[in-house]
Amino acid sequence: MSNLKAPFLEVQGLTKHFNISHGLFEKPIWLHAVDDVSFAVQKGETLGIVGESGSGKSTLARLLLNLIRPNAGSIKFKGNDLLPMTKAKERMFRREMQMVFQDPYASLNPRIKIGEAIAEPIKANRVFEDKKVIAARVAELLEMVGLSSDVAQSYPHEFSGGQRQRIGIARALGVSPEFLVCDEVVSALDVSIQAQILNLFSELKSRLNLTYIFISHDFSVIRHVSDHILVMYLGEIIEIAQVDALFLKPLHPYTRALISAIPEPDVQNRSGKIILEGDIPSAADPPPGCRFSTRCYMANDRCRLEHPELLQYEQQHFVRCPYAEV
Amino acid sequence: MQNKLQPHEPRDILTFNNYSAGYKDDEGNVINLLDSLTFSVKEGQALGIVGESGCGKSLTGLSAIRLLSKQIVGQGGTILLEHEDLLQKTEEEMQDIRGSRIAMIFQEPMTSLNPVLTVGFQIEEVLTRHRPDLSKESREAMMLGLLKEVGIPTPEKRAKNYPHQFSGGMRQRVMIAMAIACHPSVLIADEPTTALDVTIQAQILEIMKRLKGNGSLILISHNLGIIAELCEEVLVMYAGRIVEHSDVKTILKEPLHPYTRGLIASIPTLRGPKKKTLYSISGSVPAARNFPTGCRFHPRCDKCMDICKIEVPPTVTIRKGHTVSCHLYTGAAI
Repeated sequence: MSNLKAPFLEVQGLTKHFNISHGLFEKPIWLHAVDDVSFAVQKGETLGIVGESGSGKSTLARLLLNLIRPNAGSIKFKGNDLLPMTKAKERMFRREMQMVFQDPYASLNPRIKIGEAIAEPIKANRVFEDKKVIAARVAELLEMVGLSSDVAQSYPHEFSGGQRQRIGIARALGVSPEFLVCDEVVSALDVSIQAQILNLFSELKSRLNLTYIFISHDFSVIRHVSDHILVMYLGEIIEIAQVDALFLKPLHPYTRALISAIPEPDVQNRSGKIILEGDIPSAADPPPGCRFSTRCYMANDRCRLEHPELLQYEQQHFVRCPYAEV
Repeated sequence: MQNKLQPHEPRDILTFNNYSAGYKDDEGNVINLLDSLTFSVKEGQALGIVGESGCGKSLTGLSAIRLLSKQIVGQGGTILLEHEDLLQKTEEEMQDIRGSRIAMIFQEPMTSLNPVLTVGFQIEEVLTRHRPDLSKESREAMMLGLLKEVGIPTPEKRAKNYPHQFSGGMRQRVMIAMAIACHPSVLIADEPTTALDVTIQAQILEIMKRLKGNGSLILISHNLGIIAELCEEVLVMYAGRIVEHSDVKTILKEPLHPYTRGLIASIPTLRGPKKKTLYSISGSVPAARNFPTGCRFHPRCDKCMDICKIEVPPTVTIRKGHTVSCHLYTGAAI
C-alpha cells in the first residue's frame, strides 16, 4: 500500500564527487563521496543510514540539507523538486527540514547564551518576530527537550554532553520542522545518556509527528530507532531493507561482517565472527568492480572486474551483490 | 588473597590495596577522585574496568603506571606489582619498570606516536631502553617480528614509514607492538578501540585475544560488549569507587548493583524484540567536587533509601568472587 502514496522524501541518483587535487592547474582527482544514491522515506518513518567512516554518510546528510550541491541527481521533498535550489525555495524548505549534529558544543557559540542560540533560527527564518513570543517559544522548546526553561540565561560550557545535545535538538525544532536529519547524534555520549537522548528522539517523533533520517556507525543504535536501514560502503548503497529483514537475513557480505563484528555483552550470541581484512580503501581511488571486493571473503574474479548493480531481492530488500545468498 | 596458596589459583600480579587519590585545587584542598580501590589482576588473566566517563577508569590505569599529573596526589593505600609497591618507587625506578614490566596503550595512537620518527625506530627505542644487552641486529629483528605479530603486512617496508602513513587501525597495532616489546607482565589498555570503526575494532580485539595468554591485561572500556569478549573478570566503577566486581558471565546474567543493572539495560540490543523505550539512568555522573555523600550513586538510583544518602555502603561478598557495594545487599553477605 505504501507504494501508492508519493514518498515524503525521494532521492534519485544523488552523486557528489569532490576534487581533491592540490593545484589550480593540476589534473583533478575525484573523491567519490556519494555515488548514485537513490532511496525514499515515507512520512513518519525513520530511515537509518549505517556505515564506517569514509562511507559517505555525512556527505549524504549535507546533500539532503542542501549544505553542499550535488554533481548529479534529484531530491524531491513532498513531491516538489528541491534542485536546483533557489533562495525562495531554500527559505521555505529550511523551515521543514533541520539537522542535529554529533557535537553540539562545536555548533554553539561559547559567548552566546543558549536562549539566544535557540532563538537564532526562529528569528532568521522569521517564524516569530515579537520578542516575547520568541522567549515563550524558547522556554517551550527547552521544556520539550527535558530542560528547565530558566537555563536560557546560561552559557554552553555550563552544560554536560547530554544536555548540550538536548540544546542542539531544541535549536533544530525551533522552526517546527517535519523532518530531521540526525548525524551521529549519540556517538559522543555515554550509554546511560545515550539511552536518555534516544528516548527523547522517539518521544518527540510521536509527539510532533516527525520523520527522521538517523545516521550512525553503531548498528545497535540504528536498529533501535529505524524502520528501514540503508548500508553504505565507499559512497554507494550496498543494501537497503526493512529493519527486521536486515537483521534476520543480512544479504551483503559486508552487512554480515558489520553485524558480526559488533561486540555483544550477551556471551551466548557470540559465534561465527567474520573478521574483515584491511582498511576501507580511499574513496579517491575506489577499487574497480565491486568496491568491497578488496576486503570481501567471497570475492572472485568477476567481482574484481564487474561493478554490481543494486538488485531487488525481496519487495523492500535491495542488495548490491550478485552472490547474495538465496 | 588467601587463595594464593591453593595450587590451581593463578597468582596475583598487580594488586590495588585500599588505594585512594585526589585532586589538589588552588587552595590546597584535596578533592577525592579514587576511593579505597581494592582489587587484583591475576596472572595471564584479563580484568575489565567499565563505567561512564568521569568514573575514574583511566585514572586507575594511570595510577598503576604512575603517569598521573602532579596535581593528583595519593591518599593512601598500595599498588603492588608482584609484591613491590609501585607507589614507593622513585621516578628513575619507574622508568625502568614502565615499558618493561608494565605497559599501557591509549585510545588515540596518533597522540602517543612521535610524528617525525619512523615507526620502526620508535618500537626499537623501547628495546634500546630496556634491553641494552641486545645487539642492534637482534633488536631490529625483534622489531620486525613484533610488527608481524600484530598483523602489519610487509614489516620491512612499513617499519620505515612514519605514523601519518598508517591508518588508525594500523597505528593502534604499532602501539600494541611497542607495548608488548619487552613482554610486560601487565598491559593496561585504555579504550584501545574506541576511535576505530567496528570492522577494524574486531581486528584489534582479535590480536589482543591472541596475545592475552602472555601476560595480564587490564582493559578499560565503556563498552561492556568488548569487555565480555576479552575479560574473565570485570570491575564496575562509579564516581571513583568500585561498585561491583565479579566474573564477566555472572555480572551480565545477574547484575546486582543498580548502576550495573542500569548500564546493561540501557544498551540497545542487536537481537530479540526491540524495546520501545530504553531503560535510562536519570541525570549524569557528577564532577568530583560535587560527589554526593553516602553512596555516590544515590541521586541517580531508583532504589535509593534514606541510609544511602548518609552512609557509604560497605563492600559485601555475595558469593565467591562476586562483591557489591550497595545497601540493598548488606544483609545478603556470606
